Amino acid sequence: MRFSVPRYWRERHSYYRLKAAKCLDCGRVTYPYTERCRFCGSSRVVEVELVNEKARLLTYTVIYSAGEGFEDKKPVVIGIVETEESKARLLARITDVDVEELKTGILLEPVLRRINEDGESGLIYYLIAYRPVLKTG
Amino acid sequence: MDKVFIVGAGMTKIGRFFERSARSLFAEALWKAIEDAGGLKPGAIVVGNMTSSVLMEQDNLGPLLADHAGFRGLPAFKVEAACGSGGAAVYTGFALVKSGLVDVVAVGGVEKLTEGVTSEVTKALAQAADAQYELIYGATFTGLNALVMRYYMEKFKYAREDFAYWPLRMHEYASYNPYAQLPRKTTLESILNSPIIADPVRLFDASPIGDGAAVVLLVRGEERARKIASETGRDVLVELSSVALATDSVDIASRKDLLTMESTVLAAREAVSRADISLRQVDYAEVHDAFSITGYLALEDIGFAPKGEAPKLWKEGRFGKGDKPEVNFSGGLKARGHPVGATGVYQVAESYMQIRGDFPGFKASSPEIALTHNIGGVGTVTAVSILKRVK
Ligand SMILES: [Zn+2]
Repeated sequence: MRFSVPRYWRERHSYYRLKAAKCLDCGRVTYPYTERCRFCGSSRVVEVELVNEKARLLTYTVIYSAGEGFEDKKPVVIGIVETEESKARLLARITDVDVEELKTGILLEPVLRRINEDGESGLIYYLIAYRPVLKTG
Repeated sequence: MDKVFIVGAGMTKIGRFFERSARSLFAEALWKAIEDAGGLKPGAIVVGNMTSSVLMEQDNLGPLLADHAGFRGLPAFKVEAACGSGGAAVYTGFALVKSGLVDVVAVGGVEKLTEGVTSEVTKALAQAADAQYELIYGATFTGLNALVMRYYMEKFKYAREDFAYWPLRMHEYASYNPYAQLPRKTTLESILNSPIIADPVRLFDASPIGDGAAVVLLVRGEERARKIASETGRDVLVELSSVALATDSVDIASRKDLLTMESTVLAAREAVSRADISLRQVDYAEVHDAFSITGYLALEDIGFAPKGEAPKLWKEGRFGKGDKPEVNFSGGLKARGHPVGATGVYQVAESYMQIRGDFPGFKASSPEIALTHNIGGVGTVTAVSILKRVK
């Protein structure tokens, strides 16, 4: 990716707390946070953080032909998840799972992971990924 | 306001051309269109292109292409809307002509994709997606379409095999098209056994990477169009009746419905309404099938098929020769090819020739009304045009 430091840094609340916008008019929660609701255009939005919510896997893909910068990370597992309480949808890396065990509908939890790095001396991208919630008992 | 007519079209074959530059491909398509229109020269050039900044390290593309085609001095600029750049160029050119600002506009598209390292090209095309919220996680353009395809398969209970019928037919149609990148028939077996790029998308679900250029010439006023037609010995006039453009979010996760390309719904509705027709009147369509799933969603979101039924109807043989509408006889993005910023212009050139009756490939059944549909991103921006035969 080759993001500048400010470009990465200014998104820190989105990347690490999953800051989203809840619209007081239409009720939708959209990620990332925007000052106006992306569905109805209303300015009556409040911040919510999705990082404490578990999420369901809506759909996923296993990418075998990766883009520049991810060649050594193959296969890359990406999914769209829907958070349990806010019902917000976001795209994320799915981690700590065998490809054969992937299934839509499974419960996931957010976890910090090293996703990528810009070469030897560039930025290291730590981001929120989702992993399956382990069944206990 | 005066009507807009298409009076000439030119295309290059799509393929991997190590010996040809973007400027040379564009000049070929432009001069073919000029000859096709009996020598009519443009007063402006609008060019659709996506990746020149990244893959060619070249901006200022409009003047560059104009100059190298022998038109130094003309107004010329690039229009970018990812893989929908060609459609957006048609939209822009239509506006220039319709408004009365320019009488004759060359609307073209060009793309040079085959020279980069695969991962660089993959990354360049992926820039149609949201860099900060999709690409940062390692998503690719194919990967994003794969997310939509799996969701569709699970929601409407389709098997992997149901998607193989799209590329099967595209390859058959392309086998007749002299401009196609993949002019050869294939089998269900080859499609289903092709390598997985991003599960469940396989190689044969995806359009190929290719170089190409296409140009159409637009003019204002029926009198001017009639004069050109008679000078070139044709009795068919083709009106570019309407062009509409609409957008959706760039990221796919925040959409209301992952399986509806809202920009397509909006653009199709607007184009049909502005052309003063009903969708049922459309005889022929060229739709954007960057992936098999995209082709099916296009049929549904334009309104040709109910939601969830396009793969079933397609497998039953709908949208083929003799049906209404007939769809993608060029071979589509899948097999005609997808030189991204030029694709939307290829579609208009092909539909124009189908109406004229001299498309040199698989022929439609004398269409009077045609629709073209070109997307940028995963359903992010859509241009829809309506072409009409005028007696
Ligand atoms: Zn709202």
